[in-house]
Amino acid sequence: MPQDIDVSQLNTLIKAANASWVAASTSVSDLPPDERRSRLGYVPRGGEESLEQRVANSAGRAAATRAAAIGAPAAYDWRNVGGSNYVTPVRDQGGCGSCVSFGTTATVESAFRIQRGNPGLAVDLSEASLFFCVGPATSANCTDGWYMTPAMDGYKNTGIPDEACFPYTDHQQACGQCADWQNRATKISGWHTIGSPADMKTWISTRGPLATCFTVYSDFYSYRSGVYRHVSGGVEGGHCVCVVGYSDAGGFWICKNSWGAGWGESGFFCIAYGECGIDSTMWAVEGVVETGWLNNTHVIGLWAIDQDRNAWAYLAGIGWRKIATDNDNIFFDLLRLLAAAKEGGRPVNVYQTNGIITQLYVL
Amino acid sequence: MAEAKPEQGMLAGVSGSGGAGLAGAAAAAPTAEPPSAAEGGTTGVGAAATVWVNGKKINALWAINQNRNSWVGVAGVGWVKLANNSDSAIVALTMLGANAKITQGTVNYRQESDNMIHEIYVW
Repeated sequence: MPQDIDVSQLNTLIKAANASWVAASTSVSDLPPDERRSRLGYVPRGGEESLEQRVANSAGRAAATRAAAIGAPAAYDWRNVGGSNYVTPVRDQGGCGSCVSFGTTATVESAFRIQRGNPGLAVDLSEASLFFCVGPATSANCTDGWYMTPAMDGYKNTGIPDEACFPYTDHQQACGQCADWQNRATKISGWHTIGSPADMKTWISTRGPLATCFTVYSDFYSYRSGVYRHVSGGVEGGHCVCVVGYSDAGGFWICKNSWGAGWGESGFFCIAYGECGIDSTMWAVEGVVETGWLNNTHVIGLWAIDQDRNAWAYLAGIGWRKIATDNDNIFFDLLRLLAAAKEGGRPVNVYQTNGIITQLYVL
Repeated sequence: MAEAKPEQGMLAGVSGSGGAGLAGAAAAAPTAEPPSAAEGGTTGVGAAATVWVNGKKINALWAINQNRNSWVGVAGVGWVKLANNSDSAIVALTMLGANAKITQGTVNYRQESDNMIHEIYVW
């Protein structure tokens, strides 16, 4: 076990800096230096801000970030919204620079639960599929890491199947998705970046978690609890995570890391506003489009408008879903059956293709 | 031949105009959530060209052998014609009107200056 990090000295430095976090020996700080750095896989490219630009931009407006909560609650945490937890379990990326895939996937998974209004929704998407199948076209690999734009585009344009289709293991490998991955893929309707801290808080408190990336300094490996601020050590690399909440009173973002539940605060950490480039830009998932069966649900609402083949059904516990528009008779057959199910209060099994109702049984 | 419309005498329970609700922008996707049990019909004045009429019941239907000519009887309002700009749209609107009549579910609809229903929710 390497002993190159002196935790006692680090805690002294934290106290001297008037910071409010606690350092300890952790599952990551105990690793050899090269293995620690192997977890830092954010290398901005393709027009994304450099790590240095992110740090400068965030630091320059840290005080303003604390105040920028007009219209948004002073605190929010998707792990506890009315007693419900919309955040999926903490994963461990292991010794591979795949944090971009984990931060992105965590954000999509929470968006899915929130969209369904179901904190218990069993959603576990394949980080391996995103990193080892979508990633190589833009040079993703365990050693050199990746960047956010192609990861978000992968969810939007290609779609990512469930974890069981391609379970994650932390070594460089060829794409090994299941044969029917396309039938199991989840896509997002779109994504965009948010550059204003006020808009970040508004999005988090109304829509869901955001993905973000920041500069890791060597003291971060030893984070145990509290509100992290950089007090000691040099730049180790870039890292991406999922922001699940914030607190204006404490002046921090709440982040889900991908270093296992044994690191930090059960896998999470709090980081001060403006610190390490955390809030220079964040990435928002606009919505999740779905493919697959939704069984034993009910039609509780219908909607139509003066536009060609544009009608939707509201499925209990799911929300609005558009009816397929391939041609008139397909559209009317499906609409009539949905209406019949609603009239009779009968359950339906609905097949969605990218969020559009394309087949159903009325039971 | 002039376009026909349903006779007022065939519609029971008509007593003046219904409530008008919020002005609504034309949307390509539904935005409303299911009404709570406490919600009833709403009143209010919208923009001159657009009104939302909320919390109504459909108590009659009418159709005829004329192109795109289908009406619903709205309780407390009277006969209201369904938008006739598209075959698939008027059939979909008619299906929803029929569903509302059969289930006696709550209806919220958007009426434009042509006095036709251009968008409808049936709960």
